Amino acid sequence: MDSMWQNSIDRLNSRKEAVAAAGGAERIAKQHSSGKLTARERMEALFDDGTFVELNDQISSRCSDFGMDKKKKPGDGVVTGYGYIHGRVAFASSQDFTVGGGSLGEAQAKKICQAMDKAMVMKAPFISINDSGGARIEEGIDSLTGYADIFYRNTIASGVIPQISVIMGPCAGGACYSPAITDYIFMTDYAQMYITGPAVVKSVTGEEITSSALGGAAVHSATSGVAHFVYPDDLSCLNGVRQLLGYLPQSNEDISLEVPGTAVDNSSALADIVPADSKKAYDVRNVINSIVDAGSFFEVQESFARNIVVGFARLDGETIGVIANQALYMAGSLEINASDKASRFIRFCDSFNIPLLTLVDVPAFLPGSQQEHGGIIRHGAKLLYAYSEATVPKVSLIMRKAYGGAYIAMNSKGTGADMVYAWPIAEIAVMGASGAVSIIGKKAIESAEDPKAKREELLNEYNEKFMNPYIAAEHGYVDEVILPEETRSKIAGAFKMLKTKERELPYKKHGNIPL
Amino acid sequence: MDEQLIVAMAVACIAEENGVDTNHVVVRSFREVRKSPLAQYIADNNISYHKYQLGE
Repeated sequence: MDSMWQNSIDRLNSRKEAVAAAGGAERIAKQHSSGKLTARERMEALFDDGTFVELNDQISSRCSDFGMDKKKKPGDGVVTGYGYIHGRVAFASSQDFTVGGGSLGEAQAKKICQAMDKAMVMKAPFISINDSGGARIEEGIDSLTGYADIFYRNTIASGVIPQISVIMGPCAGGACYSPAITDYIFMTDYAQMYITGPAVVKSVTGEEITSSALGGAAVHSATSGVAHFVYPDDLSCLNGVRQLLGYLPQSNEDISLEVPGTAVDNSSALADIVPADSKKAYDVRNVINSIVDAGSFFEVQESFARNIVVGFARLDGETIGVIANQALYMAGSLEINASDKASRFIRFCDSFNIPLLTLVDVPAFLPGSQQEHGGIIRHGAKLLYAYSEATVPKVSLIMRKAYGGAYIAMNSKGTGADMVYAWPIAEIAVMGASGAVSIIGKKAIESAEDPKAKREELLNEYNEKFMNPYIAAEHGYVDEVILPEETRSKIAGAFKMLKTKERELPYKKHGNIPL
Repeated sequence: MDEQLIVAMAVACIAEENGVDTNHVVVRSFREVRKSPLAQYIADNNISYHKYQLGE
C-alpha cells in the first residue's frame, strides 16, 4: 500500500471516529447519568445482535449562520440505518441528544428522510427514536421544512409500512406531529411530549405546570391517549418495540410471522371467569388469555379508556387483533375515548391484514351531557365506520350483554362480521329489561292495581322473551350459540375457514371517516 | 484449565459444527473482541438485561 492510499484510509478512519465519538465523552456520561442510552446504543438494543448498519454517517449541515460552520455536529445529531429484528429487515433513526441536543435541521431531516424512503422501497417497518430539543433555530425555515418532509413521508407511509415512534427524551413543538402520525408511540418514564412547554404555557395562560405533569408518559398513556406503551427505561422500551414488531407484518402486502406457541385451550375456565349475572364485573383480559395462545396477549394502550381492551395475540401461532369490552370499568360501556381507541386499532389491523376478534359485553354508549357535548355521535361513528370498512376476517363472540347501538357498533353481523358466536347467557336486545319495561310497559304499569307487581310481571316477560341469544340466532344475526368450553376451538376454526377471505371495497380515493 | 486450552476447545467445537476436520484447523492468531458500547454500559452498571426474542 502506498502512502496516498494510507493517507486516504487514515482520513476516512479519522472521520468515522469523529462521528462515532458523537458529542464526546463528557456529554455521553451526562446522557448515561440521566439514565439514558446514547443513540447508537439504542440502535444496538433495538436490532438483532450485530445486525445494525449505519447509513449516511458523513452527512453534515451546510448552515454557516450564527457560527454554525464552526460548531462540530458529528452525524448532524442523528444516527440512521437498518438492521434486522427477528431476522427481518427494519429501518430506524435515532436522534443523538449528545450532538447539538439532537436538534433537527436540514441535514438531519434529510438523513431521516433517506432512511424512511428506503423503508418504503424495501417495504419494511420504520422506527423513529426521538430525543431532541426540537427545531435547530439557527437553520430557520430549513429546519421547519425538514419536519414537513418527515410528516409528509409519515403520512404517505401510513398503512403501507408499520411506523413506530419511540420517545426517550424531550419531544416538543412541531416534533410531536411525526410520532402522532405514526402507528404506535412508545415512551419511557422520563420522556416528555408537548406542543408548547411549561414556560410558554405560563406566559400565555398563566398556568403553572411541570413538564411531566404537562406531557409526561403517565399523562399521555392514561389521559390524552397519545402514547400506546410506557416503559421505565430505554432497554425495556426497546424490548417492547421488538415484541410489538413480532406481531406485525413487514408491510400491507405481507402477513404476520407465524409463531408456534403453546396452544393451550383454557376455554373450560370461561364459565367460571364470566358471571352469568350481567351486573357482576370480571376482568375480560382473563377471558382473552383463556382463548389465545398461552402468554401471547400483548395489550395496547393499557391505561387509556380502560373500558375497552385492545391488543395483539396469537391463535394457533397466527397474529390476531383483539377488541373486548372491559366490564371492570364503566361496566364496559362505550364512550368517546373507547370509541377512538378501538377504531384506530381496528383500522391498523385492517391496514396490515391482521384478523379481528371482538369479545362483546356492552350495555350501551355512555349517556350524559359530557359525552353528548364531547361529540359521542362523531366519535362513536368511528367505531361503526372502522368495523364496516375492515375487510380482514372478523369474528365476534357475544359473551353477555349486547344492547342497542353499542351492540351494532361492536362488530355486529350488519356491519360485516363474518362469524358471530354467542354464549347461552348472552342478552342481545335493544336495551336492558329495566329500561325497556319502563318505556313499553309505562301505561300498563301506571294503570295496574299493583304497579310493582305489574312491573315485575313485565320484566319477567321481557327477560324470558328477549334477554337471550336465540332471537338473534333465529334471525341469522348470530351464526351459532356455543358452549364456553367450545370457544377457542370454534373461534380458531372460524379464522382458519376465513383465511382465504377476499372482499374488496368499491374504488374510492379514500373514505371520509368522521374524525 | 488454562486459557489456551479453553480457546482450543472452543475452536474445535466451532470447526466440528461446521463439518471441518479439527486436525486441519490451524489457529494463527487471537484477537480480543472488544465489548460494544451497549454491552460495556450494561456491564459497567450491573444491569440485568435480556434482549427480547420472538415468541417469548
